[in-house]
Amino acid sequence: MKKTDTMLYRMVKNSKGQFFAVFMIVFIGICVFVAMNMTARNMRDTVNEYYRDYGFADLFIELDAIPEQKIAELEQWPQIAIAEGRIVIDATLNTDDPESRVNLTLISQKDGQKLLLPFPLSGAKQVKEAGDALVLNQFAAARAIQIGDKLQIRTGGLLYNLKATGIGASSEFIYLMESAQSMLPDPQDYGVLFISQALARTMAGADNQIAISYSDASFDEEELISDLKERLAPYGVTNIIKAKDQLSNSIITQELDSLDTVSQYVPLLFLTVAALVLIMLLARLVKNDRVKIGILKAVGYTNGEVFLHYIKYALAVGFAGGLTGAVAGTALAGAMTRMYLQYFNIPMIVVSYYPAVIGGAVLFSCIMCGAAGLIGARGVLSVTPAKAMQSEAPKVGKRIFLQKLPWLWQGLPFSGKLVCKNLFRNKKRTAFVLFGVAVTFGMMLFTSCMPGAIDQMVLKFYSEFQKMDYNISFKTPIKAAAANDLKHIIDIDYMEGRVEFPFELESGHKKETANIIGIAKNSRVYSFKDTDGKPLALPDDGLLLSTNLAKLLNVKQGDIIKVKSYLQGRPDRYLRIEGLVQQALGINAYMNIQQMGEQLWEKNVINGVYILTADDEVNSKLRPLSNIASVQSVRETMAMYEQYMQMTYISIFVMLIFSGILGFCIVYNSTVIAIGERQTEFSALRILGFSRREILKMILQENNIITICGIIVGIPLGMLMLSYTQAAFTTKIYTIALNPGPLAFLAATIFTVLCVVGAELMTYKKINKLDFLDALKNRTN
Amino acid sequence: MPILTVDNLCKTYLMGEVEVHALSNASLTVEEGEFVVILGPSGSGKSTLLNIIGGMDTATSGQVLVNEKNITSLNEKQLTNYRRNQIGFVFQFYNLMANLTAAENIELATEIAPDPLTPAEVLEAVGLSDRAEHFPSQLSGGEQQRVSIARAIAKNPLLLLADEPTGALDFNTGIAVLALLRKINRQTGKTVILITHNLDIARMADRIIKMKSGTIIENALNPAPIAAEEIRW
Repeated sequence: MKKTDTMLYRMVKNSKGQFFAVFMIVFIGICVFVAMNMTARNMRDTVNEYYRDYGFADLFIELDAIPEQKIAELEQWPQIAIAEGRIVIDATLNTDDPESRVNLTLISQKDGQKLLLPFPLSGAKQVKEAGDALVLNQFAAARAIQIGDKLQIRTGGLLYNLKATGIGASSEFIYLMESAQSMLPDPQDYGVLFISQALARTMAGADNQIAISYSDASFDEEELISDLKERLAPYGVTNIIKAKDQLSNSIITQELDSLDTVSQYVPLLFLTVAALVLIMLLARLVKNDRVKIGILKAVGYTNGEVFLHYIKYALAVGFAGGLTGAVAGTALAGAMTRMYLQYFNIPMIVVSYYPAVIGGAVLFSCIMCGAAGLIGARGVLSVTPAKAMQSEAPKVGKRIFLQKLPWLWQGLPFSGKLVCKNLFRNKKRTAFVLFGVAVTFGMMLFTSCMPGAIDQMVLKFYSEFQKMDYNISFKTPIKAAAANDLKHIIDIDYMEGRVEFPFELESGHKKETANIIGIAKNSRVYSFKDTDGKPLALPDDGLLLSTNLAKLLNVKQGDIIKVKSYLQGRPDRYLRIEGLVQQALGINAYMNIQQMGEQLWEKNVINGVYILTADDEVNSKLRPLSNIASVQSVRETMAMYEQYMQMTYISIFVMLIFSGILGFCIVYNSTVIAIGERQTEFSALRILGFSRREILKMILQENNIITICGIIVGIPLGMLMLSYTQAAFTTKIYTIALNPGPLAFLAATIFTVLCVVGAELMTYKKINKLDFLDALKNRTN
Repeated sequence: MPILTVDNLCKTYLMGEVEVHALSNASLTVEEGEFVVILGPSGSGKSTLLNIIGGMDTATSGQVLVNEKNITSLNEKQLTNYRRNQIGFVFQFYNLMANLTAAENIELATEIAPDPLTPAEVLEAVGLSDRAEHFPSQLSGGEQQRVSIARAIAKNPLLLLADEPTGALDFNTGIAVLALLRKINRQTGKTVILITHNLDIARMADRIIKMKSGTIIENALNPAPIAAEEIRW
């Protein structure tokens, strides 16, 4: 080993605490990057293979009814490889609990089916007899349905007895949600049964959905959709869904995209912090090693060789942290992929190790740390051997800023003046420690406000934005007045009709399918707020758009968008955006129900109602009604959310640990550096008669002031991180509003102070070990 | 032919707004194998002169010819090579690397020299073979300075430059270090240039150069150099 490398090795060994502290930051950053990146890749590979093997469709067309022959004709189109019809029926499951409403989607299966095949898990692989049913595994697990169980279902007002002959998964229902408005999967109350085509025909007649798989030919998807819409118009096309917009697929894609985002920005944050710590650490090291650098140069080492010696320290951190982080991340990726697959109910797994990710992570870590080394150690180049041998001239003493404020300065005790002078004398050092505290506080603030933010997201949505107790959807639209019949069945305090229907919204090249909801002018169920949080009234004409939808369409208030209907024979409409509303969950547009009836729908016709009620038996009372498609209870949704939160809390706990490590490492490093370079000063104070305790008190006072300032600086830094996270985590399904409350600030302050105290306790040991006299004697060592 | 010729060397630098003339038209010659002592009080410019001869500092004007090569015209890279290949430096405060053992401190120099002696050989020469694996903190001041000398000679340099090598040592240890330098000079024929403010040390030199206020006031051969052990101060 070269002697300069031996020196480096021993330098690391002697300051292993500091090295380890930076190493940990790099380690965590790279570990998170590799684990998340590989998990996202594994997930994508798994999902793609699952889709490929079990025939996930490229396009889903929903229509009223279409003959099989017409579907077969579609396969003549050059863009289409496979076109398969199926029957999809809404139903409910009869259970022993009269209050529970279990909605079902029945999907027909036929021989020779190529698309959307169920993945058999146990029992029969496919439906053979008319009374057989293949049960979706999430639903079977949630309701403890076993093979051989009898299932009584109700659809179209008729009861059917089915037998569970098999349990299987489906690529179409990896993430099982009844609709985009459901927010969370609820396999207890919503399930899917695959039934025979013969039975489905008796229930609903002809096929009402077409699944399409594209050929390899290149073509414009939008053009194809437009052609299909035209060709299939006579069969009552109600919706055309691209694979990317299919509910389960779109949620998984968003989840994986979020994973990608986190896998990029968390490590970037950690590596940036590591790089900044390294820059400060090396800059201070070079300053302290001035004589050593001079000797090396005097002996004959070139500038480059000495420079490299210090850069190697940074590279050693980058390489060690990068490599171990990549290895740990790879191991973690396998476990994370399994956890995700379990969460998403994917019955197969493709786990690969990506050497390019590992290599890239190590390289990235080395580049970041190497760059930090170049900046931090650049002082090496300006050291000349002759000057290095001379004692450094003392800095020119100057009055500090506070001395210009006599009313403040005079009031300070002598020790306070000394502390202030110390803080202002070395601004870089003070700034470094302050930066450490600020970053820690920022991270802690972010972590502390996450649980509150998710709480707020759901609570605000269901208690402020929407205030109904139940959202009831009808299978077939009814006259608004007819809905009053419900008042005879349920004790309703308040009811208002609504229309909710998917439309294609278009602005320039941007297109999105979203539900437009028509509500009463003076709705008591919805209360809209604009982007500034001010109340917003529903306009008589035009649309209100959720901010998320506006972002997707790249539109603003005052713009005009094209609204294309999926209903046959409806002309396109051009509507003005009258305002943008904050909406935490889902993406929607809102319209005056009367205007919607006139322009997009039918006058005085509704397809659902919102009700406010104290009645506890809504589900059981509505069960016999054949025209009820779904009953969404806000209370049940909130309970489901509680369950879902448990997984989120684990993630937050992990983030908290990461933030803690990051904060501790920064504060520890910065304090150790500060103490290391002030040995001579402390020694002089000892000789003057200061006790160790008094010196420690002085350091603590300095640290306390910096901690307070760091927390103040950390507030905007934390808010910046929150706004970035808010943007990164905003999806079609939800919008996280990260507005930290007083509790989040308090928690962040407590955690930051704990980190500082922890680091101070470690440095206290170092101060106690300091040989002050030795420090005075040694000029070079 | 002199091994070292210094010709009208000037060094001026700014200290704040004041121009300091550290060297003014200093000229001297040194023959190969001589043991030279540059004598002068603090601030006389002797360290500046030694630093320029050693390629650690640059001159404002004038020439320094080492083996007929003008080192004042060298760029930084060439100066580094010059220090690496031709100069051995001994410092007042030893300046050993704290986290390298005695042997490793020597290897630090031998690793980059083109024609080095072995660390064991030089440690033997300075009488520290048994202390090879000791770190500087485990050595006395005199031992540290002997390691520093060993490091300087291990490169097998053309010139051995010593800046107040006894300045931080007690009398007996100082004498031992001077004796060692003299022994190396005698046995290897290396030219040694030593700077000191101690008049008594000058008595062991082959050549004594006296400096004052940045100028050389005397450059004379010592007709009767004494042994280091005979020096008293």
